Amino acid sequence: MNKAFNLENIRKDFPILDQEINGSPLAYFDNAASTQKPKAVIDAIKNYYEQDHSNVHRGVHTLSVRATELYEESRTKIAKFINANTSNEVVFTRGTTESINVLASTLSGLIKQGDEILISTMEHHSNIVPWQELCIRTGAILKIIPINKLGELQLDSLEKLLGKKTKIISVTHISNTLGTINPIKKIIELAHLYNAYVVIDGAQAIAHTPIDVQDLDCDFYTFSGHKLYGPTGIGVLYGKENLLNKLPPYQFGGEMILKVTFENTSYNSLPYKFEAGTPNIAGSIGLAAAIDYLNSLPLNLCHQYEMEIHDYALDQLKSFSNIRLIGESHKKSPIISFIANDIHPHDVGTILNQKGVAVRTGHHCTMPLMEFFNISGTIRASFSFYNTKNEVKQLIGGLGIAFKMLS
Amino acid sequence: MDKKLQLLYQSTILEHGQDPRNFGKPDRYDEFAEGFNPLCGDKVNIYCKYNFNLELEITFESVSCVICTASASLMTTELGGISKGKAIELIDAVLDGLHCSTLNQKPLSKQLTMLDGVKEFPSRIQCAALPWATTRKAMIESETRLE
Repeated sequence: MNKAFNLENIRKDFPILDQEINGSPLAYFDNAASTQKPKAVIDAIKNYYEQDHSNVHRGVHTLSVRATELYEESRTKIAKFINANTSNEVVFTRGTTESINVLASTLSGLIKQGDEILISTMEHHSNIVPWQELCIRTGAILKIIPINKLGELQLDSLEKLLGKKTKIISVTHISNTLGTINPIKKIIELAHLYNAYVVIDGAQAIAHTPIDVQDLDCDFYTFSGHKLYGPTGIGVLYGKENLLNKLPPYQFGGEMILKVTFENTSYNSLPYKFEAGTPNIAGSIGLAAAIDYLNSLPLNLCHQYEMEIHDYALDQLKSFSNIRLIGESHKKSPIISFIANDIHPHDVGTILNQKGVAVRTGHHCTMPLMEFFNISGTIRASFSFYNTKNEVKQLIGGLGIAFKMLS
Repeated sequence: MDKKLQLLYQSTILEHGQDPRNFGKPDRYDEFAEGFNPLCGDKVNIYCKYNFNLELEITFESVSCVICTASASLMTTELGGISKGKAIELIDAVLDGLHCSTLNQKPLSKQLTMLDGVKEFPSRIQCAALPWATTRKAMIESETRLE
């Protein structure tokens, strides 16, 4: 039976939404930075600490066995959620940034001077800086796939950039600033013609579109738990098993070893090879609870509804003649970035907050993208399935006040 | 209208923010520093020069919010015509005040107490502090270079 989308019930699942900020009801439009947590996630973490906590693996006592089971069950749920071939392909990290750092560090052994790494103009700093560092270490060259004025990746330019020297392409699935959905399946297909590895920054995409890593045929996919209604400090590095096996460990210590002597150490198998030290057990359990929660919803209807809210907000914004949209891709996720003539985003953000509206203002960790559009920052409203049209009206009302005050 | 907002965006701040004094790059200057707020991407360039009496003249260029621009503009009027030593003393008093809540208690001019409203908005303190910290940097770094 098809599940129905019930906004009122969904909002009740998120306790944080029911509060006032500066005397107005909270309208939370900063979901691209971090989504709020359903009670199911908060309870799962609380229950774990109240009933099941101990360190994972190797313990013979009951609590350690329980904690280990919960931790590994979480991995299995995540593997299923992204349709990984096996749970060995799911490595727990602190988040997308760490996942990309693991790759930029461990892939460097396969890179030599003059090799080329491709990223795009719209990348988050966390998908730029690790590759810059890799290039400094190895003498590889960082090349940039351009975008057009709508904020869309230029695939024809990518085809021209690809060559025998291309070793890695690392691009975002959905731009955190523009909302652009990139044609990653096509990118992966093109990259594989040149035997280049593809890393996908899925930080934004994971909450807004179903991910099937096998269908995409991507080599590596990275995302954070806290943008998927889960806790902070937990993230995922998905990698094809044969590729992860090829890579050296990232950090060294407990958990990631098989046998240690003072002369020699052998390393554990996947995924533990990449999980040195005591992991974020509660985080993984919270993330699995978020996935269970999402699976209990009609997720396709939730995604549709988010876009309805996006389209409604876009339409309402048209009532302001001073607004310029930044990012008008034909394929978009529920993110709207805009600037207002001569009015600084930070000033608008402060006034909106006084009216209970939470938006993000600034460069959104995409400074090169800001340079491309010749701006210093944007006002960004990013939507979730728990947002309402009334909240959008609150945003529009707040913008009206801000523009009046600052013009 | 919200009282806190009114205090933050009071008419003097809006007026200096939208029509800043001493804005632009001079032909000649003795000290220079670039200030950058990595949180929002705002940039401020500070130019200091000294006349025969070693009195300060400051101009600035910026791509910044109203609070930062107004703070820079107020700063240039406040520090203009005084000695470098006194300027550094005043800068330190303002920066201390912005970061600790004693702006009113320091012997600052009425103009500068306009910045008081910022303290109600912790996320904006850096906006107001940036021009002052950048001017300090310009002055101190030039001394380091002379050494």
